[in-house]
Amino acid sequence: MTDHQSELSAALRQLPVPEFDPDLLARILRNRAMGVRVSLPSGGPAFPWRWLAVAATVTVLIGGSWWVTMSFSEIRASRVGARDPFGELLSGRLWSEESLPASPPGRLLPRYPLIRSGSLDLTRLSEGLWTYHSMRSTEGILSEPSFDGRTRLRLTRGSYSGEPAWVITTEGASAGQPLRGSGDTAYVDAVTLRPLYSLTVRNQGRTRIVESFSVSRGFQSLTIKGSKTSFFSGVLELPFPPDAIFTNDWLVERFRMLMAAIPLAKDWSGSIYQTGFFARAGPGTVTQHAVPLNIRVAGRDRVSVPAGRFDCWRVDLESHSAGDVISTRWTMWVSRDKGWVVKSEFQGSDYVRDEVLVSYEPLK
Amino acid sequence: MAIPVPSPAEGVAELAEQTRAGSPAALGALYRRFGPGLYRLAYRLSGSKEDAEDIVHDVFVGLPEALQRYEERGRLDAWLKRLTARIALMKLRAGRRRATLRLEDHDTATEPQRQPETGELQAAVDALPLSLRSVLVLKEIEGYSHSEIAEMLGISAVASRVRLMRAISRLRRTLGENR
Repeated sequence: MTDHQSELSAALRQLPVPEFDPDLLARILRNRAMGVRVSLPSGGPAFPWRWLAVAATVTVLIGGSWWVTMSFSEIRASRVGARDPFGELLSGRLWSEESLPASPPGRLLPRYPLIRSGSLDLTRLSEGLWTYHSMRSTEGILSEPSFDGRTRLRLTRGSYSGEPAWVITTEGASAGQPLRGSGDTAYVDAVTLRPLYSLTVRNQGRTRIVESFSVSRGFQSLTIKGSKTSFFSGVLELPFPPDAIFTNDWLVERFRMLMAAIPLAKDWSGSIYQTGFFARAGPGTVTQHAVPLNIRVAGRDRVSVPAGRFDCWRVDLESHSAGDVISTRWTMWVSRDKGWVVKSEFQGSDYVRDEVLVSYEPLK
Repeated sequence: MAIPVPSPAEGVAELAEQTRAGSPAALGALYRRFGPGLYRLAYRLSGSKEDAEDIVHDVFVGLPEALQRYEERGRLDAWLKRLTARIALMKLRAGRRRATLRLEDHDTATEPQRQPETGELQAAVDALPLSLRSVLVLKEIEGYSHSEIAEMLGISAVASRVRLMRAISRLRRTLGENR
Protein backbone atom coordinates (compact mmCIF):
# COMPACT_ATOMS: atom_id res chain seq x y z
CA MET A 1 0.00 0.00 0.00
CA THR A 2 1.39 3.42 -0.96
CA ASP A 3 1.72 6.29 1.49
CA HIS A 4 -1.00 8.13 -0.38
CA GLN A 5 -3.34 5.18 -0.03
CA SER A 6 -2.53 4.85 3.68
CA GLU A 7 -3.33 8.52 4.14
CA LEU A 8 -6.56 8.08 2.25
CA SER A 9 -7.53 5.07 4.39
CA ALA A 10 -6.82 7.03 7.55
CA ALA A 11 -8.84 9.99 6.31
CA LEU A 12 -11.73 7.71 5.34
CA ARG A 13 -11.76 6.12 8.79
CA GLN A 14 -11.96 9.54 10.36
CA LEU A 15 -15.03 10.62 8.42
CA PRO A 16 -17.72 11.47 10.97
CA VAL A 17 -20.72 9.23 11.52
CA PRO A 18 -23.89 10.77 13.01
CA GLU A 19 -25.25 9.48 16.30
CA PHE A 20 -27.98 6.92 15.85
CA ASP A 21 -31.43 6.94 17.36
CA PRO A 22 -31.09 6.02 21.07
CA ASP A 23 -34.54 4.40 20.89
CA LEU A 24 -33.56 2.05 18.09
CA LEU A 25 -33.16 -0.94 20.40
CA ALA A 26 -36.54 -0.25 21.98
CA ARG A 27 -38.07 -0.17 18.49
CA ILE A 28 -36.38 -3.44 17.57
CA LEU A 29 -37.62 -5.20 20.72
CA ARG A 30 -41.09 -3.71 20.42
CA ASN A 31 -41.41 -4.83 16.80
CA ARG A 32 -40.23 -8.32 17.62
CA ALA A 33 -42.67 -8.50 20.52
CA MET A 34 -45.44 -7.54 18.07
CA GLY A 35 -44.50 -10.40 15.78
CA VAL A 36 -42.55 -8.48 13.15
CA ARG A 37 -39.96 -10.71 11.47
CA VAL A 38 -37.35 -10.02 8.83
CA SER A 39 -35.96 -12.74 6.65
CA LEU A 40 -32.22 -12.10 6.45
CA PRO A 41 -29.82 -13.30 3.80
CA SER A 42 -27.01 -15.64 4.72
CA GLY A 43 -23.91 -14.18 6.35
CA GLY A 44 -21.80 -16.63 4.36
CA PRO A 45 -20.44 -16.38 0.81
CA ALA A 46 -22.74 -14.71 -1.67
CA PHE A 47 -24.77 -17.05 -3.77
CA PRO A 48 -24.80 -16.14 -7.49
CA TRP A 49 -28.44 -15.00 -7.36
CA ARG A 50 -28.01 -12.80 -10.39
CA TRP A 51 -27.30 -15.77 -12.64
CA LEU A 52 -29.93 -17.85 -10.96
CA ALA A 53 -32.44 -15.03 -11.56
CA VAL A 54 -31.54 -14.88 -15.24
CA ALA A 55 -31.98 -18.64 -15.58
CA ALA A 56 -35.27 -18.52 -13.68
CA THR A 57 -36.56 -15.66 -15.81
CA VAL A 58 -35.81 -17.55 -19.01
CA THR A 59 -37.52 -20.65 -17.63
CA VAL A 60 -40.57 -18.66 -16.52
CA LEU A 61 -40.84 -16.89 -19.86
CA ILE A 62 -40.72 -20.12 -21.82
CA GLY A 63 -42.91 -22.11 -19.45
CA GLY A 64 -45.22 -19.19 -18.63
CA SER A 65 -46.16 -18.41 -22.21
CA TRP A 66 -47.20 -22.03 -22.73
CA TRP A 67 -49.09 -22.11 -19.44
CA VAL A 68 -50.92 -18.82 -20.00
CA THR A 69 -52.04 -19.98 -23.45
CA MET A 70 -53.40 -23.20 -21.94
CA SER A 71 -55.05 -21.49 -18.96
CA PHE A 72 -56.80 -18.85 -20.99
CA SER A 73 -58.23 -21.38 -23.38
CA GLU A 74 -59.63 -23.30 -20.38
CA ILE A 75 -61.06 -20.12 -18.91
CA ARG A 76 -62.71 -19.08 -22.12
CA ALA A 77 -64.87 -22.17 -21.95
CA SER A 78 -66.26 -21.22 -18.55
CA ARG A 79 -65.94 -17.46 -18.31
CA VAL A 80 -68.86 -15.23 -17.57
CA GLY A 81 -68.42 -13.53 -20.92
CA ALA A 82 -69.70 -10.08 -21.77
CA ARG A 83 -72.03 -9.69 -18.81
CA ASP A 84 -71.90 -6.37 -17.02
CA PRO A 85 -69.80 -6.96 -13.89
CA PHE A 86 -71.30 -4.12 -11.87
CA GLY A 87 -74.65 -5.61 -10.96
CA GLU A 88 -73.03 -8.98 -10.38
CA LEU A 89 -70.33 -7.46 -8.27
CA LEU A 90 -72.64 -5.51 -6.02
CA SER A 91 -74.96 -8.45 -5.56
CA GLY A 92 -71.95 -10.67 -4.80
CA ARG A 93 -73.15 -13.43 -7.10
CA LEU A 94 -69.95 -13.92 -9.02
CA TRP A 95 -67.78 -15.14 -6.21
CA SER A 96 -68.29 -18.57 -4.82
CA GLU A 97 -66.28 -20.16 -2.04
CA GLU A 98 -64.55 -22.26 -4.68
CA SER A 99 -63.15 -19.14 -6.31
CA LEU A 100 -61.17 -18.21 -3.21
CA PRO A 101 -57.50 -18.02 -4.09
CA ALA A 102 -55.00 -20.24 -2.38
CA SER A 103 -53.11 -18.77 0.57
CA PRO A 104 -50.01 -16.88 -0.52
CA PRO A 105 -46.71 -18.51 0.38
CA GLY A 106 -44.71 -16.88 3.17
CA ARG A 107 -47.03 -14.02 4.06
CA LEU A 108 -45.12 -10.87 4.86
CA LEU A 109 -45.58 -9.16 8.19
CA PRO A 110 -45.84 -5.43 8.69
CA ARG A 111 -42.69 -3.82 9.93
CA TYR A 112 -44.33 -1.24 12.12
CA PRO A 113 -47.52 -1.25 14.22
CA LEU A 114 -50.63 -1.35 12.04
CA ILE A 115 -52.41 1.98 11.70
CA ARG A 116 -55.86 1.57 13.21
CA SER A 117 -58.87 3.65 12.29
CA GLY A 118 -59.12 4.94 15.87
CA SER A 119 -55.80 6.74 15.54
CA LEU A 120 -56.81 8.80 12.49
CA ASP A 121 -57.45 12.53 12.65
CA LEU A 122 -60.42 12.74 10.28
CA THR A 123 -60.89 16.47 10.91
CA ARG A 124 -57.86 17.18 8.71
CA LEU A 125 -59.56 15.86 5.58
CA SER A 126 -61.35 18.40 3.41
CA GLU A 127 -62.92 18.54 -0.02
CA GLY A 128 -60.70 19.90 -2.75
CA LEU A 129 -58.97 19.60 -6.09
CA TRP A 130 -55.23 18.86 -6.15
CA THR A 131 -53.37 19.21 -9.43
CA TYR A 132 -49.95 17.59 -9.79
CA HIS A 133 -47.33 17.86 -12.47
CA SER A 134 -45.43 14.64 -13.06
CA MET A 135 -42.13 13.96 -14.75
CA ARG A 136 -40.60 10.59 -15.40
CA SER A 137 -36.85 10.34 -15.79
CA THR A 138 -34.58 7.43 -16.54
CA GLU A 139 -31.12 7.11 -15.02
CA GLY A 140 -31.51 10.68 -13.75
CA ILE A 141 -30.86 12.04 -17.21
CA LEU A 142 -33.58 11.39 -19.73
CA SER A 143 -37.06 12.75 -19.38
CA GLU A 144 -39.64 11.18 -21.57
CA PRO A 145 -42.11 13.79 -22.82
CA SER A 146 -44.88 11.23 -23.02
CA PHE A 147 -44.75 10.95 -19.25
CA ASP A 148 -44.62 14.67 -18.70
CA GLY A 149 -48.19 15.25 -17.65
CA ARG A 150 -50.68 16.36 -15.08
CA THR A 151 -52.95 14.54 -12.71
CA ARG A 152 -55.85 16.08 -10.88
CA LEU A 153 -57.33 14.37 -7.86
CA ARG A 154 -60.71 15.40 -6.51
CA LEU A 155 -61.76 14.57 -2.97
CA THR A 156 -65.46 15.08 -2.19
CA ARG A 157 -67.95 13.93 0.39
CA GLY A 158 -70.49 11.38 -0.78
CA SER A 159 -72.13 8.18 0.31
CA TYR A 160 -71.89 4.52 -0.47
CA SER A 161 -74.73 2.14 0.38
CA GLY A 162 -76.24 4.90 2.48
CA GLU A 163 -73.14 5.40 4.62
CA PRO A 164 -70.94 8.52 4.48
CA ALA A 165 -67.90 8.10 2.28
CA TRP A 166 -65.12 10.06 0.66
CA VAL A 167 -65.11 9.96 -3.12
CA ILE A 168 -61.81 10.26 -4.98
CA THR A 169 -61.87 10.83 -8.74
CA THR A 170 -58.91 11.14 -11.04
CA GLU A 171 -58.32 13.20 -14.16
CA GLY A 172 -55.18 13.15 -16.25
CA ALA A 173 -53.53 14.61 -19.33
CA SER A 174 -50.15 14.71 -20.99
CA ALA A 175 -48.39 18.06 -21.30
CA GLY A 176 -50.37 20.72 -23.16
CA GLN A 177 -53.58 18.68 -23.29
CA PRO A 178 -56.76 19.50 -21.35
CA LEU A 179 -57.40 17.46 -18.24
CA ARG A 180 -60.16 14.92 -18.56
CA GLY A 181 -61.64 12.28 -16.35
CA SER A 182 -59.99 8.90 -16.59
CA GLY A 183 -63.07 7.23 -15.18
CA ASP A 184 -61.19 6.17 -12.07
CA THR A 185 -63.40 6.54 -9.01
CA ALA A 186 -62.93 5.29 -5.50
CA TYR A 187 -65.17 5.34 -2.44
CA VAL A 188 -63.59 5.06 0.99
CA ASP A 189 -65.39 4.79 4.29
CA ALA A 190 -65.60 8.24 5.89
CA VAL A 191 -64.75 6.87 9.36
CA THR A 192 -62.28 4.04 8.78
CA LEU A 193 -60.85 5.29 5.45
CA ARG A 194 -60.94 1.69 4.22
CA PRO A 195 -61.78 1.25 0.54
CA LEU A 196 -65.39 0.32 -0.19
CA TYR A 197 -65.53 0.37 -3.96
CA SER A 198 -63.32 1.43 -6.83
CA LEU A 199 -63.43 1.50 -10.59
CA THR A 200 -60.19 1.69 -12.55
CA VAL A 201 -60.33 2.26 -16.30
CA ARG A 202 -57.39 1.79 -18.68
CA ASN A 203 -56.70 1.42 -22.41
CA GLN A 204 -59.33 3.94 -23.52
CA GLY A 205 -62.00 2.21 -21.52
CA ARG A 206 -61.26 -1.28 -22.83
CA THR A 207 -59.92 -2.52 -19.50
CA ARG A 208 -61.97 -2.07 -16.35
CA ILE A 209 -61.13 -3.25 -12.87
CA VAL A 210 -63.91 -3.11 -10.32
CA GLU A 211 -63.25 -3.78 -6.66
CA SER A 212 -65.49 -3.79 -3.63
CA PHE A 213 -64.63 -4.58 -0.05
CA SER A 214 -66.51 -5.83 2.97
CA VAL A 215 -65.03 -5.95 6.47
CA SER A 216 -63.22 -9.20 5.80
CA ARG A 217 -63.16 -9.71 2.04
CA GLY A 218 -62.33 -8.04 -1.22
CA PHE A 219 -64.04 -8.75 -4.53
CA GLN A 220 -62.38 -7.94 -7.80
CA SER A 221 -63.41 -8.20 -11.43
CA LEU A 222 -61.45 -7.52 -14.58
CA THR A 223 -63.10 -6.94 -17.91
CA ILE A 224 -61.04 -6.70 -21.09
CA LYS A 225 -63.03 -5.62 -24.11
CA GLY A 226 -61.85 -6.63 -27.55
CA SER A 227 -63.03 -8.78 -30.39
CA LYS A 228 -63.99 -11.18 -27.61
CA THR A 229 -64.67 -9.73 -24.20
CA SER A 230 -62.95 -11.52 -21.33
CA PHE A 231 -64.10 -11.39 -17.77
CA PHE A 232 -62.26 -12.60 -14.68
CA SER A 233 -63.03 -12.30 -11.01
CA GLY A 234 -61.64 -13.19 -7.62
CA VAL A 235 -62.07 -13.00 -3.88
CA LEU A 236 -59.46 -12.07 -1.30
CA GLU A 237 -59.72 -12.82 2.41
CA LEU A 238 -58.30 -9.74 4.10
CA PRO A 239 -55.46 -10.93 6.37
CA PHE A 240 -55.67 -8.10 8.90
CA PRO A 241 -58.01 -6.84 11.63
CA PRO A 242 -61.24 -5.04 10.70
CA ASP A 243 -60.04 -1.71 12.09
CA ALA A 244 -56.63 -1.79 10.33
CA ILE A 245 -56.21 0.70 7.51
CA PHE A 246 -55.51 -0.63 4.03
CA THR A 247 -55.55 0.60 0.48
CA ASN A 248 -56.31 -1.08 -2.83
CA ASP A 249 -54.33 1.68 -4.54
CA TRP A 250 -51.26 -0.19 -5.71
CA LEU A 251 -49.39 2.90 -6.90
CA VAL A 252 -50.32 4.97 -3.84
CA GLU A 253 -51.85 7.70 -5.98
CA ARG A 254 -55.30 8.07 -4.45
CA PHE A 255 -54.05 7.21 -1.00
CA ARG A 256 -52.16 10.53 -1.00
CA MET A 257 -55.51 12.24 -0.52
CA LEU A 258 -55.93 10.47 2.80
CA MET A 259 -52.45 11.07 4.20
CA ALA A 260 -53.68 14.17 6.02
CA ALA A 261 -55.57 11.95 8.46
CA ILE A 262 -52.48 10.00 9.48
CA PRO A 263 -50.94 11.45 12.65
CA LEU A 264 -47.42 12.04 11.30
CA ALA A 265 -44.81 13.28 13.76
CA LYS A 266 -41.07 13.16 14.26
CA ASP A 267 -39.87 9.51 14.18
CA TRP A 268 -43.43 8.27 13.62
CA SER A 269 -43.86 4.94 11.84
CA GLY A 270 -46.80 2.74 10.99
CA SER A 271 -47.88 0.11 8.50
CA ILE A 272 -50.96 -0.44 6.41
CA TYR A 273 -51.78 -3.21 3.96
CA GLN A 274 -51.99 -2.91 0.20
CA THR A 275 -54.14 -5.22 -1.83
CA GLY A 276 -53.12 -5.97 -5.39
CA PHE A 277 -54.49 -7.82 -8.36
CA PHE A 278 -56.21 -10.99 -7.29
CA ALA A 279 -58.81 -11.68 -9.98
CA ARG A 280 -58.38 -15.21 -11.21
CA ALA A 281 -57.56 -15.85 -14.83
CA GLY A 282 -57.21 -19.55 -14.12
CA PRO A 283 -56.06 -21.81 -11.32
CA GLY A 284 -53.00 -20.42 -9.59
CA THR A 285 -52.94 -17.13 -11.44
CA VAL A 286 -53.27 -14.99 -8.34
CA THR A 287 -50.39 -12.59 -8.69
CA GLN A 288 -50.59 -10.50 -5.56
CA HIS A 289 -52.67 -10.68 -2.43
CA ALA A 290 -52.13 -8.20 0.35
CA VAL A 291 -48.72 -6.98 1.44
CA PRO A 292 -47.66 -4.51 4.11
CA LEU A 293 -46.88 -0.95 3.14
CA ASN A 294 -44.45 0.39 5.72
CA ILE A 295 -44.58 4.13 6.33
CA ARG A 296 -42.00 6.11 8.26
CA VAL A 297 -41.30 9.77 8.90
CA ALA A 298 -37.66 10.08 7.84
CA GLY A 299 -37.11 13.78 8.34
CA ARG A 300 -38.32 17.28 7.88
CA ASP A 301 -37.69 19.55 4.87
CA ARG A 302 -38.85 22.84 3.50
CA VAL A 303 -40.01 22.24 -0.05
CA SER A 304 -40.80 24.71 -2.83
CA VAL A 305 -43.28 23.56 -5.47
CA PRO A 306 -45.46 25.56 -7.87
CA ALA A 307 -48.29 25.55 -5.31
CA GLY A 308 -46.06 27.29 -2.74
CA ARG A 309 -43.46 26.71 -0.09
CA PHE A 310 -44.23 24.13 2.56
CA ASP A 311 -42.77 22.88 5.79
CA CYS A 312 -43.01 19.11 5.27
CA TRP A 313 -42.50 15.72 6.82
CA ARG A 314 -40.37 13.61 4.54
CA VAL A 315 -42.13 10.26 4.55
CA ASP A 316 -40.68 7.02 3.23
CA LEU A 317 -43.06 4.31 2.06
CA GLU A 318 -41.91 0.83 1.19
CA SER A 319 -43.74 -2.28 0.14
CA HIS A 320 -42.45 -5.73 -0.71
CA SER A 321 -43.70 -8.21 -3.20
CA ALA A 322 -44.43 -11.77 -2.14
CA GLY A 323 -41.21 -13.51 -1.23
CA ASP A 324 -39.71 -10.22 -0.10
CA VAL A 325 -37.59 -10.09 -3.24
CA ILE A 326 -38.62 -6.82 -4.83
CA SER A 327 -39.25 -3.69 -2.84
CA THR A 328 -41.02 -0.60 -4.07
CA ARG A 329 -40.17 2.74 -2.58
CA TRP A 330 -41.82 6.08 -2.50
CA THR A 331 -40.79 9.26 -0.80
CA MET A 332 -43.50 11.81 -0.11
CA TRP A 333 -43.26 15.26 1.32
CA VAL A 334 -46.39 15.91 3.37
CA SER A 335 -47.11 19.47 4.47
CA ARG A 336 -47.16 19.64 8.25
CA ASP A 337 -50.00 22.13 8.56
CA LYS A 338 -52.47 20.84 5.97
CA GLY A 339 -51.42 17.25 5.43
CA TRP A 340 -51.20 17.60 1.65
CA VAL A 341 -48.69 15.56 -0.30
CA VAL A 342 -46.88 18.39 -2.07
CA LYS A 343 -44.12 16.35 -3.68
CA SER A 344 -43.56 12.68 -4.24
CA GLU A 345 -40.96 10.49 -5.82
CA PHE A 346 -41.64 6.95 -6.96
CA GLN A 347 -38.72 4.66 -7.63
CA GLY A 348 -39.56 2.40 -10.58
CA SER A 349 -37.48 -0.50 -11.83
CA ASP A 350 -35.24 1.75 -13.96
CA TYR A 351 -36.87 5.13 -13.72
CA VAL A 352 -37.99 7.74 -11.24
CA ARG A 353 -41.31 9.52 -11.35
CA ASP A 354 -41.42 12.89 -9.65
CA GLU A 355 -44.66 14.66 -8.92
CA VAL A 356 -45.15 18.14 -7.52
CA LEU A 357 -48.27 19.93 -6.41
CA VAL A 358 -49.15 22.67 -8.88
CA SER A 359 -52.34 23.96 -7.33
CA TYR A 360 -55.04 23.33 -4.79
CA GLU A 361 -58.61 24.54 -5.11
CA PRO A 362 -61.02 24.18 -2.21
CA LEU A 363 -64.51 22.94 -2.99
CA LYS A 364 -67.55 24.52 -1.43
CA MET B 1 -40.46 0.26 27.11
CA ALA B 2 -38.10 -1.21 29.68
CA ILE B 3 -35.10 -2.81 28.01
CA PRO B 4 -33.83 -5.98 29.71
CA VAL B 5 -30.20 -5.96 30.76
CA PRO B 6 -28.26 -9.26 30.89
CA SER B 7 -25.30 -9.98 33.08
CA PRO B 8 -22.12 -8.40 31.65
CA ALA B 9 -20.26 -11.63 32.29
CA GLU B 10 -22.15 -13.49 29.62
CA GLY B 11 -20.03 -14.40 26.60
CA VAL B 12 -20.91 -13.88 22.98
CA ALA B 13 -21.52 -17.59 22.33
CA GLU B 14 -23.98 -17.79 25.24
CA LEU B 15 -25.70 -14.62 24.12
CA ALA B 16 -26.01 -15.96 20.58
CA GLU B 17 -27.49 -19.19 21.93
CA GLN B 18 -29.98 -17.33 24.14
CA THR B 19 -30.89 -14.97 21.28
CA ARG B 20 -31.48 -17.96 19.04
CA ALA B 21 -33.82 -19.29 21.73
CA GLY B 22 -35.76 -16.00 21.65
CA SER B 23 -34.39 -14.09 24.64
CA PRO B 24 -34.98 -10.32 24.26
CA ALA B 25 -32.36 -9.65 26.95
CA ALA B 26 -29.69 -11.49 25.00
CA LEU B 27 -30.73 -9.75 21.79
CA GLY B 28 -30.40 -6.43 23.60
CA ALA B 29 -26.94 -7.39 24.85
CA LEU B 30 -25.77 -8.32 21.35
CA TYR B 31 -27.17 -5.03 20.09
CA ARG B 32 -25.23 -3.05 22.69
CA ARG B 33 -22.06 -4.92 21.89
CA PHE B 34 -22.21 -4.95 18.10
CA GLY B 35 -24.92 -2.44 17.15
CA PRO B 36 -22.72 0.69 17.06
CA GLY B 37 -20.11 -0.94 14.78
CA LEU B 38 -22.79 -2.33 12.47
CA TYR B 39 -24.46 1.09 12.35
CA ARG B 40 -21.16 2.72 11.35
CA LEU B 41 -20.69 0.16 8.59
CA ALA B 42 -24.28 0.61 7.38
CA TYR B 43 -23.92 4.40 7.45
CA ARG B 44 -20.70 4.34 5.46
CA LEU B 45 -22.23 2.07 2.86
CA SER B 46 -25.53 3.92 2.59
CA GLY B 47 -24.49 7.51 3.29
CA SER B 48 -27.78 8.02 5.13
CA LYS B 49 -28.56 7.94 8.84
CA GLU B 50 -32.14 6.79 8.21
CA ASP B 51 -31.07 3.98 5.90
CA ALA B 52 -28.37 2.89 8.33
CA GLU B 53 -30.86 2.73 11.21
CA ASP B 54 -33.24 0.77 9.00
CA ILE B 55 -30.51 -1.70 8.14
CA VAL B 56 -29.50 -2.22 11.78
CA HIS B 57 -33.18 -2.54 12.69
CA ASP B 58 -33.63 -5.29 10.11
CA VAL B 59 -30.48 -7.10 11.21
CA PHE B 60 -31.55 -7.31 14.84
CA VAL B 61 -35.23 -7.95 14.19
CA GLY B 62 -34.27 -10.90 12.01
CA LEU B 63 -31.30 -12.02 14.09
CA PRO B 64 -32.89 -14.74 16.29
CA GLU B 65 -34.10 -16.61 13.19
CA ALA B 66 -30.91 -15.88 11.21
CA LEU B 67 -28.80 -17.31 14.05
CA GLN B 68 -30.35 -20.71 13.32
CA ARG B 69 -28.08 -20.72 10.27
CA TYR B 70 -25.01 -19.45 12.12
CA GLU B 71 -22.62 -22.31 12.59
CA GLU B 72 -20.15 -20.66 15.03
CA ARG B 73 -17.17 -21.57 12.89
CA GLY B 74 -16.20 -17.93 12.56
CA ARG B 75 -16.47 -14.96 14.86
CA LEU B 76 -19.97 -13.64 15.40
CA ASP B 77 -18.94 -10.01 14.83
CA ALA B 78 -17.46 -10.85 11.42
CA TRP B 79 -20.58 -12.81 10.51
CA LEU B 80 -22.80 -9.91 11.62
CA LYS B 81 -20.76 -7.47 9.57
CA ARG B 82 -21.08 -9.61 6.47
CA LEU B 83 -24.80 -9.87 7.09
CA THR B 84 -25.12 -6.12 7.58
CA ALA B 85 -23.12 -5.33 4.46
CA ARG B 86 -25.23 -7.71 2.43
CA ILE B 87 -28.51 -6.23 3.66
CA ALA B 88 -27.21 -2.72 3.05
CA LEU B 89 -26.22 -3.57 -0.51
CA MET B 90 -29.54 -5.30 -1.17
CA LYS B 91 -31.44 -2.30 0.07
CA LEU B 92 -29.31 0.15 -1.83
CA ARG B 93 -29.66 -1.78 -5.04
CA ALA B 94 -33.40 -1.99 -4.57
CA GLY B 95 -33.86 1.72 -4.16
CA ARG B 96 -32.05 4.79 -5.27
CA ARG B 97 -29.79 6.22 -2.61
CA ARG B 98 -31.56 8.69 -0.46
CA ALA B 99 -28.55 10.98 -0.67
CA THR B 100 -29.81 12.04 -4.08
CA LEU B 101 -33.06 13.19 -2.52
CA ARG B 102 -31.47 15.96 -0.51
CA LEU B 103 -33.52 19.09 -0.81
CA GLU B 104 -32.97 22.68 -0.01
CA ASP B 105 -33.02 23.50 3.66
CA HIS B 106 -32.21 19.88 4.48
CA ASP B 107 -32.67 19.15 8.16
CA THR B 108 -29.06 19.21 9.29
CA ALA B 109 -29.72 18.94 12.99
CA THR B 110 -28.88 15.25 13.07
CA GLU B 111 -25.99 15.32 10.62
CA PRO B 112 -22.44 15.33 11.97
CA GLN B 113 -20.51 18.58 11.86
CA ARG B 114 -17.93 18.35 9.09
CA GLN B 115 -14.64 20.10 8.69
CA PRO B 116 -14.17 21.57 5.20
CA GLU B 117 -11.62 18.89 4.29
CA THR B 118 -13.69 15.97 5.53
CA GLY B 119 -16.77 17.52 3.93
CA GLU B 120 -15.03 17.40 0.56
CA LEU B 121 -13.92 13.82 1.08
CA GLN B 122 -17.37 12.73 2.24
CA ALA B 123 -18.97 14.41 -0.78
CA ALA B 124 -16.49 12.64 -3.06
CA VAL B 125 -17.28 9.28 -1.42
CA ASP B 126 -21.02 9.98 -1.66
CA ALA B 127 -20.63 10.69 -5.37
CA LEU B 128 -19.14 7.26 -6.07
CA PRO B 129 -21.47 4.69 -7.60
CA LEU B 130 -22.52 1.95 -5.22
CA SER B 131 -20.33 -0.69 -6.90
CA LEU B 132 -17.19 1.34 -6.20
CA ARG B 133 -18.20 2.81 -2.85
CA SER B 134 -18.99 -0.60 -1.37
CA VAL B 135 -15.53 -1.95 -2.21
CA LEU B 136 -13.85 1.23 -0.96
CA VAL B 137 -15.68 1.11 2.37
CA LEU B 138 -15.18 -2.61 2.89
CA LYS B 139 -11.48 -2.53 2.01
CA GLU B 140 -10.18 0.82 3.18
CA ILE B 141 -12.36 1.39 6.23
CA GLU B 142 -13.45 -2.06 7.36
CA GLY B 143 -10.19 -3.74 6.39
CA TYR B 144 -11.56 -6.77 4.58
CA SER B 145 -9.33 -8.63 2.14
CA HIS B 146 -10.22 -8.69 -1.53
CA SER B 147 -11.16 -12.34 -1.33
CA GLU B 148 -13.53 -11.62 1.58
CA ILE B 149 -15.06 -8.70 -0.34
CA ALA B 150 -15.39 -10.92 -3.39
CA GLU B 151 -17.33 -13.47 -1.32
CA MET B 152 -19.50 -10.79 0.19
CA LEU B 153 -20.40 -9.07 -3.06
CA GLY B 154 -20.52 -12.13 -5.28
CA ILE B 155 -17.72 -10.85 -7.53
CA SER B 156 -14.17 -12.07 -8.20
CA ALA B 157 -11.18 -10.89 -6.15
CA VAL B 158 -9.75 -9.34 -9.31
CA ALA B 159 -12.94 -7.37 -9.85
CA SER B 160 -12.71 -6.17 -6.25
CA ARG B 161 -9.14 -4.90 -6.86
CA VAL B 162 -10.17 -3.18 -10.06
CA ARG B 163 -13.13 -1.49 -8.38
CA LEU B 164 -10.93 -0.29 -5.55
CA MET B 165 -8.43 1.22 -7.98
CA ARG B 166 -11.24 2.94 -9.87
CA ALA B 167 -12.76 4.25 -6.64
CA ILE B 168 -9.46 5.70 -5.44
CA SER B 169 -8.75 7.16 -8.84
CA ARG B 170 -12.15 8.86 -8.93
CA LEU B 171 -11.72 10.16 -5.39
CA ARG B 172 -8.35 11.69 -6.25
CA ARG B 173 -9.72 13.22 -9.41
CA THR B 174 -12.71 14.72 -7.60
CA LEU B 175 -10.63 16.03 -4.72
CA GLY B 176 -8.01 17.38 -7.12
CA GLU B 177 -10.63 19.25 -9.11
CA ASN B 178 -11.88 20.94 -5.96
CA ARG B 179 -8.46 22.34 -5.09
